[in-house]
Amino acid sequence: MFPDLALGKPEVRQIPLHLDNRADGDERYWHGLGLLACGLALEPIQVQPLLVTASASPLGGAAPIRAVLVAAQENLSAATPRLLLPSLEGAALQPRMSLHVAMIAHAVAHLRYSPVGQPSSALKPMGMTVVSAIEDARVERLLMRAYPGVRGWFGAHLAAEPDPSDLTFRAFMARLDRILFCTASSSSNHWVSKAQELFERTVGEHGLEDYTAFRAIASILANDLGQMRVRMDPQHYVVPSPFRDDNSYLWQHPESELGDEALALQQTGARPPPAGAGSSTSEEVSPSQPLDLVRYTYPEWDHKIERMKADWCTVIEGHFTRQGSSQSQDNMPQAALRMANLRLRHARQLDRRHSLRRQWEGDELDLNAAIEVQVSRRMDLQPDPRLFLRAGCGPRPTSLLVLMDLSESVNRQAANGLALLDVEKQAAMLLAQSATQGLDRLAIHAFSSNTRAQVNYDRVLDFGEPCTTVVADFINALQGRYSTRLGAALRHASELLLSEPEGQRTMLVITDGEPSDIDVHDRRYLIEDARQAVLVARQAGIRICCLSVDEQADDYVRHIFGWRNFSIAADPQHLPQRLAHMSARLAAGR
Amino acid sequence: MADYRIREEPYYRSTGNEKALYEQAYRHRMPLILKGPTGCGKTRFVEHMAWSLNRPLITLACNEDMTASDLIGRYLLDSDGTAWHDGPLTMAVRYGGICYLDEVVEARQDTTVVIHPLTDARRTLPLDKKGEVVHAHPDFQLVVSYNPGYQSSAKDMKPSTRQRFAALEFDYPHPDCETDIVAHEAGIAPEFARKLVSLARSTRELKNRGLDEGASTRMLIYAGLLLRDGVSPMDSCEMTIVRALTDDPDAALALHRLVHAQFGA
Repeated sequence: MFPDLALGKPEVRQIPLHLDNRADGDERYWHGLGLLACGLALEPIQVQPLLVTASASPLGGAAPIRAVLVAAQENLSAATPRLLLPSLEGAALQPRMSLHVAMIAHAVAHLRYSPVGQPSSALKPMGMTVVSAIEDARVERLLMRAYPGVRGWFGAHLAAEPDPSDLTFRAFMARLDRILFCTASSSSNHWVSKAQELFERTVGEHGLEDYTAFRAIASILANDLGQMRVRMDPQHYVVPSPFRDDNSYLWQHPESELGDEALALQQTGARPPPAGAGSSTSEEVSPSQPLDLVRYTYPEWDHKIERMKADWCTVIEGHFTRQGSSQSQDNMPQAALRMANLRLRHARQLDRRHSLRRQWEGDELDLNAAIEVQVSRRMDLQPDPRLFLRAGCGPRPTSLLVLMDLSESVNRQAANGLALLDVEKQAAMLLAQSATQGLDRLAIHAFSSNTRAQVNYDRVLDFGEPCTTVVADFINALQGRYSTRLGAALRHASELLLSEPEGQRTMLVITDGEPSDIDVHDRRYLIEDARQAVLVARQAGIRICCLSVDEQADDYVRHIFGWRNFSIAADPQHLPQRLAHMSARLAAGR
Repeated sequence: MADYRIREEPYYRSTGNEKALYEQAYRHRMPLILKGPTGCGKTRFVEHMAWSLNRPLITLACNEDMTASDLIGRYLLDSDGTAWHDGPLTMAVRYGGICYLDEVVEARQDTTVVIHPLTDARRTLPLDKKGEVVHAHPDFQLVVSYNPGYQSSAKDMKPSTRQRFAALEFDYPHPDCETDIVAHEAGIAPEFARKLVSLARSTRELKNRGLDEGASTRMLIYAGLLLRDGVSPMDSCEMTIVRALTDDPDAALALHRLVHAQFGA
């Protein structure tokens, strides 16, 4: 904010994932706010929660927090502007939403109309604050001209009218905010009415677009305040209207490292690619690993720069979990009963190899029927009008790929002592056995990840492979370890699905938690990456659905897979049923 | 064929030199692709050109189940036996009209190859079932349209089909121009039309973020029609734009707020 405030700035950072045990159910909430911001700003803008650790603030957490707007940078670290909003946790949904919406509108006003990063060196803190307040009023008016409806959004959260006896700086700024917003009102205070008169006259003479004219009146007003001996305490000053941002967007401070430091902490912890890693499907195999490993590289989506990072993740394909497949079969019990009636229906599709005879309408005449019509007519009988030939519907080749999450967390035992891994194994086993009963092609693949350099991918059961006892042993020997880098696995699975015969290609992802990896500290990063992978696969014609056993998953799973493309089994024991239900629905093409 | 003639001038507001380019292409009877997002005026443009060139226009909306016989014709049975009935394409070829295949990539690729002999120097249409070769009337021209935006790469034209066409690219008109169009077509005051256009710009910004496509000019005209009949701006936009564009509750809420920003009290 101000140069001399460098030490007083609250420490801003994103809490790393593993510490984040809030019941954080608002991925969708932020996504919706982001959509609103893009629509209003007419350019991409990211909206993110601003997390502040209160203990690091010398203000003792007592001062209210304002939004922070960060301009787009030329370098690739931030190609789009970002808006960090105080998350206002604990507030009821309606007021929280209403305040956030007003904050977004205000930030959009700056983005659209304010000059960014003006040099601040010539100004004292008070001058800068008054210039900022006038600028706030100016850009809000411009925005209200473009979107008349936002007036109500701002009005609901304007600073309260201070007590007439209150002659502090903050009270003057609150009066200024109010008088410039409510044009019809008037004030008994000389300075405030002077501000109103100057502002309205400038609007009339120069128009709202003229930044310099408004800057000039702000200087006059700040000077007057100085002469009135009004004192400002820059350490503790916060703009009075809660929807306005801290105005750091407007200023370029000579030695400002505070902004950079605070924001650098929000970057992901991903490292640059190691030298030599790169070329796609390179066959380099390090000597310590078995030779049947094949490596593929995939890009990864960085939501901060809105770009793909090329060749970012290495997917290693092989049978990782098959060594020492000597586990006993004791975990493969009862659920068989519940899955037994899993019959997958076929999707139907127009197929010219079947022609339907004697149709009411069709492309061609059915010759036999036409002859009979002529015969009937000669005999003065009513002819059968069904005499056309039409192409029938044949079964559509269906490929279903089940992608299982085998990260460490699947080993966690539920209350009844059954780990998710066991349930996953049962479900996989039963699906594998059912494959012979109707589904054309089924594959069961599993993945786990250990940083971007090692995304393990195991084709447990591949397309067209019969379900033998060997496969059963493989499934039985699966182990959960490492993390969940979902996006890379999704991209690899999509590639494999696309080499399947044309028809209906479907992927079903089974997971127990949100994407995470130890080299990524921004919890949104992998979620956005996975979402991007899903969008790309969907454009290529792959249907992707997700089955999650995380009760808290509603939010991010919906964000990744989209509305209606997910299901949540709150109890892992319900997984087999849900799986049966979902694969039947998918196979039927619905 | 008289039924296919357009009697009154369809309203079309030119946004560039596309009319002149079309006339030049028509002079050589060059087949044309019209590309552009949904509801930006491709069909209206063809109607307008057919009217100004005084040619019949035969329009056909393509779909996945369409077969070649839906285009060229088939045998039907009548009292004297079988009789050949020309399909819409054959009619246009025989009697000289503009044949417009809307959303051509929706038809399967094996269906669209029947237009190949028509779209090169031969300009003939062989009717193999009937044993006839129809030579195209000198006035015949083929125009197809498609929307490159939302269709997946699975649905695309074969390069051999594609290379037979010249292409005109359409986009939503410039805001001032779009305001005129909406005000004219819906019969509303320009200030309302301007607000609708500004709302549309906001929704188009959300393309590929939460929406497949932004609000089209046609949608704005629908919203304008309801507005003119006295429906409140919030309600008419909610009905014709917000609910029509998306099923996703989150995206709908964001759109709803954009409408409110534009029309709210």
